[in-house]
Amino acid sequence: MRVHRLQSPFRHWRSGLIAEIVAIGLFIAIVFITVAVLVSVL
Amino acid sequence: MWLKLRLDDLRLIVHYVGMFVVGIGLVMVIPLVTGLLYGEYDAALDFLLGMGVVCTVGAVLVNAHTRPENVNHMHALAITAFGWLAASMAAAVPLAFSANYATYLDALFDALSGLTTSGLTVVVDLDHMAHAHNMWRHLTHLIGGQGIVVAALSLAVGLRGGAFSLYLAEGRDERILPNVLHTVRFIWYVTAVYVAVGTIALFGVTLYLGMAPARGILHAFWIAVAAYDTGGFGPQSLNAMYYHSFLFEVVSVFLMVAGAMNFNLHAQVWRGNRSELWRNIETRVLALNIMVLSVLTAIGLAATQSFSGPFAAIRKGAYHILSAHTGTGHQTIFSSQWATDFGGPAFVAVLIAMAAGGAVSSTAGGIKALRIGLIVRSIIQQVKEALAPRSAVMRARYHHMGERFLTPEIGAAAATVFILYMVTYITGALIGTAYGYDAGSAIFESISATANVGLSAGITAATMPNGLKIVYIVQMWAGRLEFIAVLVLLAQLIIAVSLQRERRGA
Repeated sequence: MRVHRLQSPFRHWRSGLIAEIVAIGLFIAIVFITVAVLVSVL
Repeated sequence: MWLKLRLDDLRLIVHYVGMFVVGIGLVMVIPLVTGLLYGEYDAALDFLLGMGVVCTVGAVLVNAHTRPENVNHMHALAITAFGWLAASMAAAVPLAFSANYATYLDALFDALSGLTTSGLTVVVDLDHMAHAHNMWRHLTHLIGGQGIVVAALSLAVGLRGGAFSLYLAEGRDERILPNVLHTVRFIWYVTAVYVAVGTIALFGVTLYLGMAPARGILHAFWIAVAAYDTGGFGPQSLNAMYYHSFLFEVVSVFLMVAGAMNFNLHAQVWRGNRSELWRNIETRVLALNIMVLSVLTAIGLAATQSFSGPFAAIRKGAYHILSAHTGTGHQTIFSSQWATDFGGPAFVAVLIAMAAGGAVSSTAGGIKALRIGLIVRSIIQQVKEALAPRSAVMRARYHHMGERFLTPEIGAAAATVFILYMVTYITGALIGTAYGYDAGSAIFESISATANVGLSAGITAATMPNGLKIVYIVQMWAGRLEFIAVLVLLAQLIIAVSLQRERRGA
């Protein structure tokens, strides 16, 4: 049986942080663009 | 069977509450040093006196029990409920010594608002407040955002068992790592990383805006803490509007969203499990809700035409939906503008965003996205079961840090907390209207207090009635602890009173 060892969240904080910043940035951009387009159109 | 509190139990509870009080007193060394560094000797004296008073009272309480045994579930709930009140009372002492609070009740309001990361404030002349006192106000966000119990556990202050019960009693639902002490250290680790990155980014922005470095670094740290801990305090009376900078707002919005994320989700992503970000029911509910409410806001703003152009709509509309939904409460408009410049749909969208809140096990308040997702899934499941043949066996599943079955118990627990929040929102609003405020503002302020948001429609001020200040204090306290610890405390009091009556009758 293969045993998967969990990666330590303490050790790999840089890559995790970058992934979160990219995801949050994309989401905020979508929200901002949606509001801007809707206000312009309506 | 009801668990009755004995005298020994009470002494144990007082012992641990005393430890929280001493802890709050020791942290006051940070604003004390800030005062000395910036030449604010009067403010430094406030904190020296505050430390003396708080640590002395705390030490007396700690001595209520010299040989504390293990903490059980009932102790944990009582320690947490009393602990938050006692910590707020302690944190209010140096604020009450300053000239920025008319009464001790006002200082207590701000201290509890800070610790619960609400951000509502009754401070007077904030623009002339000493750096030391501002440092303390924002530090209350940092301590309370992660949790007073989490702060105590991370230092493992004399605990002899029962750590996980205490952790759960503070409104945290999930253990991130197998060991609860490692879990709370991870929570502080994530916070330290985000606050450090946020402070550096905001410091750059303050320098770009022309602020002196010595002042800019303080503002950057305070706003980073207030945004990441979804608190909402600011060092100026205009709050986030003071900076008048789109760049500043974008950086703070990043921190708000990060603060509203589940610490367990941070752990998953930092372990390399990136797909959890979009598979998790909680992030899906949060994203969908924010998108729908942003559309409503855009419709409302387009109707009023108060903010001309799409860029203004982003800075006033989308910014406030994110600030409200994450439970932060940073504001870039005047309180009176909620009624005048936010059209009906936009105003309602902000109310819904505040009520819904962020993720469970985050620094945010409100009903929480996970519970909303589970309630919606339960409703869909019931409709499916009604349509299916009687012999069909159906089980709903959801993804939250792995695939899970949605049992009726999980759905009922989510619905219970939902109902408790709604009842408190409505009760607070009714009390607000009874004090003579208009219904819209009363509903707005009640939701903001209970969901620990901090946006204000103008009711919260030093001049508001003391009775209403006490109502909002109770709402902020109960909302932060998600009611259960507070209800258990009330039940214990009722049991104690009824037993006393029985004894007198006999």
